[in-house]
Amino acid sequence: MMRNFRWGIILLLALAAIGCARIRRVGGEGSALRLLYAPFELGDSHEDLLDVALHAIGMKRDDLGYRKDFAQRDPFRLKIVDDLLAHPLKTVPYLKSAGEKLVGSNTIGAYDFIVSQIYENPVGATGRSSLRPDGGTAPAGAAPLHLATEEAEALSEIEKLDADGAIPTGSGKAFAILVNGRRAAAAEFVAAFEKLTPQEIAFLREKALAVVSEDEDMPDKEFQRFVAVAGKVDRAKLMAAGRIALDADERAFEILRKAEVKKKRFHYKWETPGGAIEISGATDDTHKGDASILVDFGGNDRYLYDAAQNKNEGDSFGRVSLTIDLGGDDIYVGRNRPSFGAGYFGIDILLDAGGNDTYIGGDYSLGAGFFGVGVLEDMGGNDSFKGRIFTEGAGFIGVGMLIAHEGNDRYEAGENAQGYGLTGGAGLLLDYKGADSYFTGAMLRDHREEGKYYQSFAQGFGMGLRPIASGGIGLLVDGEGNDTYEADYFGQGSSYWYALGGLIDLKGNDRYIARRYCQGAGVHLSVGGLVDLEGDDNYVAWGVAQGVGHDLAVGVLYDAVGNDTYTAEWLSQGAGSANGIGIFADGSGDDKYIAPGDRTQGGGEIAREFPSVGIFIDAGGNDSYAGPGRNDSIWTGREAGVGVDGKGKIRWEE
Amino acid sequence: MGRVIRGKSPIILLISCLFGLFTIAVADEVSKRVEALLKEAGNAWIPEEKRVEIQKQIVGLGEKAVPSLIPHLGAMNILEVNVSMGALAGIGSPAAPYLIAAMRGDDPEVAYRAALTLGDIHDARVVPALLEGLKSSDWHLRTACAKSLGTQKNVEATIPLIAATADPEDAVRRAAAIALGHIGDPAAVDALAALLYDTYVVRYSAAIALASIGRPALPALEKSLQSGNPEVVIAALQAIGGIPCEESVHAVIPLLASGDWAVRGAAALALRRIGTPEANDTVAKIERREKHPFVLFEIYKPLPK
Repeated sequence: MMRNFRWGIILLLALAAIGCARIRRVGGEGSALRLLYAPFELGDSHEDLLDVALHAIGMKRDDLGYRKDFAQRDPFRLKIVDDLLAHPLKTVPYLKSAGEKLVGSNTIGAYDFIVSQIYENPVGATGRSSLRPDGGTAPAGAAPLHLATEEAEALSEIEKLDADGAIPTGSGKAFAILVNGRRAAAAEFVAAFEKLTPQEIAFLREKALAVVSEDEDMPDKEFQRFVAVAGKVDRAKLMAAGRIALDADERAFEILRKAEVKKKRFHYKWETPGGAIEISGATDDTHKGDASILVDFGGNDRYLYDAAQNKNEGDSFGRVSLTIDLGGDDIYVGRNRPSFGAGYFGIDILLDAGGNDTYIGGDYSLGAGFFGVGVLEDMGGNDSFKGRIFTEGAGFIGVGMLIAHEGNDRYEAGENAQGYGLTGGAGLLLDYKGADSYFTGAMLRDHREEGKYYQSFAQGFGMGLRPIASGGIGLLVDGEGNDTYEADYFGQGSSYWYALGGLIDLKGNDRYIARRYCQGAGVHLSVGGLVDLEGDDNYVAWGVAQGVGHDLAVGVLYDAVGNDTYTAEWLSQGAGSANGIGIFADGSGDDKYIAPGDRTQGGGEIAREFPSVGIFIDAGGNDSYAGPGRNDSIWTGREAGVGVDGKGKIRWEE
Repeated sequence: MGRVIRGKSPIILLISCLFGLFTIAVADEVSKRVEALLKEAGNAWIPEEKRVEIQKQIVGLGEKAVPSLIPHLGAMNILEVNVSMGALAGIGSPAAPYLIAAMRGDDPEVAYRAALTLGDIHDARVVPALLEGLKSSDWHLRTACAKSLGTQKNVEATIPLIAATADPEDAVRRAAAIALGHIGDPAAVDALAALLYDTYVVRYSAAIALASIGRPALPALEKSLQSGNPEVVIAALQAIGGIPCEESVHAVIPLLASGDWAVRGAAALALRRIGTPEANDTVAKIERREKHPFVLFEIYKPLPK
């Protein structure tokens, strides 16, 4: 009986083996798919998987990239965008290095880095932005700045208050820095616009919103004139003005936070030609936004900038605002006007020393540089940031930075936000630590998919004004913590028209959710990249996502370490369309890939009778796939598409 | 007699003036109509069918719409541009002289798109104009002219396009290769085979072009298989695979023994695409001894329909 059973098993196994061999031999069209993916052994585990992938489709490293201008050059083209378009394999090292530099920098270091990326002449190059060694803030080499009588009188009174102990001891010097800084920054700001007539400045201010918002129709000629006039702004001087103001605010803060608070309740205010100077005690105060230098020594304060008298921005051109709040759980509300680190044709720096704060801004708010420089720095606490359009680290002919140090923060915005760089500008959202959540959308609908989804243009998004002006740089950098990112159309390390968008997350188990043109997507001659260096991460998108280049653009998604899950439907996970280059790479970890639709996991195509390149690489771990890929294997997609899952290295280009 | 003429001349003059004014009024009316339609077409929210309908309406206006359409070739709204190009192509021959003039004009964006639009208009004046544009100092325009000459499929363009395969700009070389493929003149084979040594996008386009030319391209392609350069060999195999012809099988078979797995994979795929019994049998034989997963994948993956 046992013997018969044994023979039966042997017979069954033999039949199965014959069957498998038969299936494999028949092969051909669509059959025996599981046998297509034979185990992939490179032989040398140190072989570079990028080279393997390129070789499989008959390419060399030099073949990747765009070294020609497919559109006419304009004065706003950035060197870094040209460089990364020409050498797409530099994108990951560039973004990784940028992320690490920014997380290792203080606010001024971050500002200098960002400015150096968008202007070939860094801020210091003019020699005008250096501070005097005596602590004054007049630009070195510039004629000495004379304070207005009212300013000098105010400073004199503040010194007396300091000496009398009426305000925290030792704080007087900080006000001298702030007042001098305000004046020096204002002078530099005005110099940045000296080539423009008052009519041209008025024209820029009148048309600015129409340029940013697609909702407003603007005739071509007006648009062209706008760009031409905007090009006359001296951006080096503009950046220098921002640097002077930022430096003054930071230096004043260092003095103020050490000042000894002997009594809590006090309030002083002086009207001066550069704006009011206000000092407020460590009590729970309410501020209405009518001071251009404001120091609040603590308490749970309310900054209510919605008041009707603040709506008129007609006379705010060149306004320099420096605000320092030294602690407490504060509430900032300014929905009706540019507020809280909003350099809207001016400069606005806001430093909040800590506490669990709530910021509610409107359009142009919370670290927005719109023909100006806006910086909002929050030094700690679990904070909530809520803005509408052009907010939370957004720059257009200028720099906008939102910097948050520690705490679990919540960022919400409509669109053009959270690390958004438009033409001639840069936007940075830098969060050092904490489990943070980022949300954009739910404001203006995108016309695709019957308007079911919203535009984001956010979370590391660079954008140009197609087809006449190249774009800027948008970066979202998160240092640590388990974070959640949510966006809809255009976001999370993506870009449009000769721009650079990058999302860099250094540590933590993160979740990325977006719809389309996202998660490392370059669209129309631009470069978009998402780099996540650690943690078990989860990526969800619909299409044109996760390492996709569309229309002569470069899109890259790189996740270095961790057991990750990637879900998308079509044109994703290393795909190129309309002659784009899309690269997806996962370094190590046991990963799950779901992308069952068209052109995924190494999907290319022929468009305009030449190829679009899609490269998928998984360099380690035991991975599972729903889609064309397989663990430890190599496969080709449609046309110039290729996937490699092996154990090896990924050698980018420095 | 003279008096009669003198007596009638004010009336004739008046009639002429009225006719002139009427013509201006009509032209103005058409211009306004075109502007309105293009504005509507530029709205991203309207469905694509509506845009097609708008384009048809503009085509229906005929030559009178052409002067208003030309400036829109340089519009910032790409939807507007596309409809303008489509409408001008739809109007056809009457639009040709306007487009030729635009191609020679000062606005590079308008010139580029005028050249592209001319590709879709079959008129005796078009090819000479495009050949002239092929000598432009603007490489964008040269690219557009090369592309349009390919669309025209006029064999007169072969020699100038062969010359364009040596253009310093790779976009022009690529466009010339594609155009030569469309024309299909065997005289272009050597120039196209030389492009197999070019950058990736150029050699890829050259491979497609050689496959389009077909059997006359085989000797040059077989020679390229001997180059020893894997990228060139892979591109040549890609072209050979696109020519279903028994003759090339023997040139491909030795490459199944190449030490380069990518070349073996490309060779196997080429044989499968050729699809003759001998090619299929050969692939079936090597499948039994082949170990490399890439080659096996290329042997088994479904061929595109």
